[in-house]
Amino acid sequence: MNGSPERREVPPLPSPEVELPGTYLSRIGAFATQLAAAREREEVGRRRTLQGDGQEFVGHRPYRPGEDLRRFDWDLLARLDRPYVRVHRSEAREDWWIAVDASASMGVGRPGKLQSAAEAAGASIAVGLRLGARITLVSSGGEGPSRPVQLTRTAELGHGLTALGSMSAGGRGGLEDLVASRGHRAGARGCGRLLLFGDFIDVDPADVLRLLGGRRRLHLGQVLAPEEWNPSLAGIGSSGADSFVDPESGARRRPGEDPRRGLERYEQSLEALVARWSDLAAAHGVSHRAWSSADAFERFLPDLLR
Amino acid sequence: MTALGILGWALTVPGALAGLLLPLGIILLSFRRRQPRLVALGTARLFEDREASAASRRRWQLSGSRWWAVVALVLGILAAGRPRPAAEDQAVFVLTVHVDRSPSMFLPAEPSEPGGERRIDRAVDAATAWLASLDPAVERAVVRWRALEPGGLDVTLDAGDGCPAGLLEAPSRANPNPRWGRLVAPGAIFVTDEGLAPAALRSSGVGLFASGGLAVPGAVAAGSDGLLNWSGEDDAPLQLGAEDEDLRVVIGRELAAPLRSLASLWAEERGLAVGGAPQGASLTIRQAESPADDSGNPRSSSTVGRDGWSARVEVSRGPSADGGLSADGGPIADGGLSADGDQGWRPWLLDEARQCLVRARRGEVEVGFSRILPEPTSMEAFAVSWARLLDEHLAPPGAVVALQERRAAGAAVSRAPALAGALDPEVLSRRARRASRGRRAELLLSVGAAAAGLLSLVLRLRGSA
Repeated sequence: MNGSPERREVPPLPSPEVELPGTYLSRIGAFATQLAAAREREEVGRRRTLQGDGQEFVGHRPYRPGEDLRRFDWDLLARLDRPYVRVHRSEAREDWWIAVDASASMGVGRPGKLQSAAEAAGASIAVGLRLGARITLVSSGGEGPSRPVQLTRTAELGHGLTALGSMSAGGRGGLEDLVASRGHRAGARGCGRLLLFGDFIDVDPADVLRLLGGRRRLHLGQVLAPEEWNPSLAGIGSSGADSFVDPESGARRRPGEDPRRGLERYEQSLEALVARWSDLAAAHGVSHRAWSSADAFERFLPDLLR
Repeated sequence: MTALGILGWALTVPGALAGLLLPLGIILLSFRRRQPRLVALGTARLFEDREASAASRRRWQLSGSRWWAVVALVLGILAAGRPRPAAEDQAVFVLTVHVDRSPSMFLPAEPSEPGGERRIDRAVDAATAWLASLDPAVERAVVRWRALEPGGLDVTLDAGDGCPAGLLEAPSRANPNPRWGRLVAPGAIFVTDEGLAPAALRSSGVGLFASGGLAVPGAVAAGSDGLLNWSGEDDAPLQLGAEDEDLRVVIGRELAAPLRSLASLWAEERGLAVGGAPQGASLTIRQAESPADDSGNPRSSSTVGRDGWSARVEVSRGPSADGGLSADGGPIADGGLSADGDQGWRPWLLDEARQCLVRARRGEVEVGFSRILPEPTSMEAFAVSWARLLDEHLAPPGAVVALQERRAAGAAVSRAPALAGALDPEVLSRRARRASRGRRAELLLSVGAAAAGLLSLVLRLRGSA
């Protein structure tokens, strides 16, 4: 966040607050159950991403032909006359570090980007807690990075949702503040899984890649508002917007004398921005998904958390 | 308006220009520093165009749709104003002033001032004053002055030139009162002494300048005993006045002998003097001028007669082309003086071929035959017939004015003619051409306004799409 001299008055953000609807809890519960079950089903002989391979016993599941017989529970077979395998996970509980960008730019869109990021983060927390992870929730924006919220048990999901619901888009500090800050990087260092939710517009990829290390997995959730994907939705010209304002710097930009040409150039730049993160993620084994804040988290989050 | 004037155009409905306030308001609103509509966008920086630079280039915004809307409004308002080419020339009105020169017009306007202003002077002064008041810049007029008498003056002058002096001179013979109804036409102006029939004349748009005037006492008839005077009061008996100068008769020497003898006897019987110059004579009896002798045309004989007599006469060719005297002296004046024609002649004796051999008018008798061969069949009838002719055309002395002419003429009237209908046909033609051009311009402006309005609408819809 460089201090731009062109900072000026910023119009009110359309969606600065996070409102988690009443159905949200049931949605993330169902989502977490579904995602955890799917991971358990894929645990044997598959990519193990969310589910660890440690010795902590988690439970049983029906045996599938071809599975490692060492996991077969003979006692249960004797009692129930049905084949089951034991499911374990790492005894060392995985730590998740979930960062949400709550800078002013996340207040853009209807629904807002922060709303979408918070819903995705909440669903991720639910999944993580279901899988026994210890979760640290941090956010940027406002007066500065928030105090981390520690969540260790499923019962603490409510605390996490409260923290998410209290987020408000504002200020200039975005993900860059979180990933470039040595203190935050230190907090994330011991985590096996880092989830970053934001628009990734003003984040230095190098700072993000610095978070990688060891077997740590990095998930980048890039959310953009519908009008950011397609500014013509906001209207341009006599019947629409005269200028677009960067909510953080206050800089005003216009499509140019030829709005159609200006929009084409914008779309090219946005495509390049998203592609850059996508390519970077692919090159470094990082999970990356970009979506519209109008999308439901159930649509993109499974791929992001894979 | 000024711009239109420079371009040689004007608006028929200038009030329509008030509608220009609407497009002007739109333009002024475009100048108004309005709050820009800003939309927050986290990716705003991806736009290349910085607003600051754009703002420095353009302080106000008149969108394409609004610009075309302004154009449509301006064109529509101009069309509503009904543009016409401005007058390329000054208006030229053709006015015809018919001057009544009947005897009453030469009576004094004030009976108490016999030598003072006459009715004709007063009426003509009123007409010339109005003509002089016309603004040459917009009401330039040419005036045709016409004396309402056979062979009278007929000249065309500019409005400011005044009345021709000849019109103010009393005619040698008394003229009848004009038939005004036949003279009603666009641009006609009647100069007379009586107010005529106001309602009919007003609706016709003719001008009327009447002197009015009080009754003028004086001689209304002449007899062998002297003049009969009228006191100026209606129903008052005429009084025999003092004997005036003798009435004089001029008898042409070339007249046929019987006729000449008869005329002399008639004059003697009536107590009239014989001889002297034709000017001032109460009656002149003369032989029609005959070019036959000079041109070698042969004389012919014809049998004529009326009132119980007949005679064979030797015809001398008269002034008419077909050999006889002109029965009516030429075409009837459009002023319709009377049925007796332009010169006032009336036929009195026709030959077998219906050619006029004797014609007469007030104070004059013209004979178209030179000899009577032999004497008329009935000399008594011949004498009575001719005596009646001479009696009828014996002109009274100058002081005698008919009683009807001496009556009061009422109040003075001054009413200008309606100029609208008096335009020169050429001017009207030019105006028609200009009107046609104006209608084409109006149509073009209307079509342009519709096209611009449609374009504005399309741009507006595309902009909001």
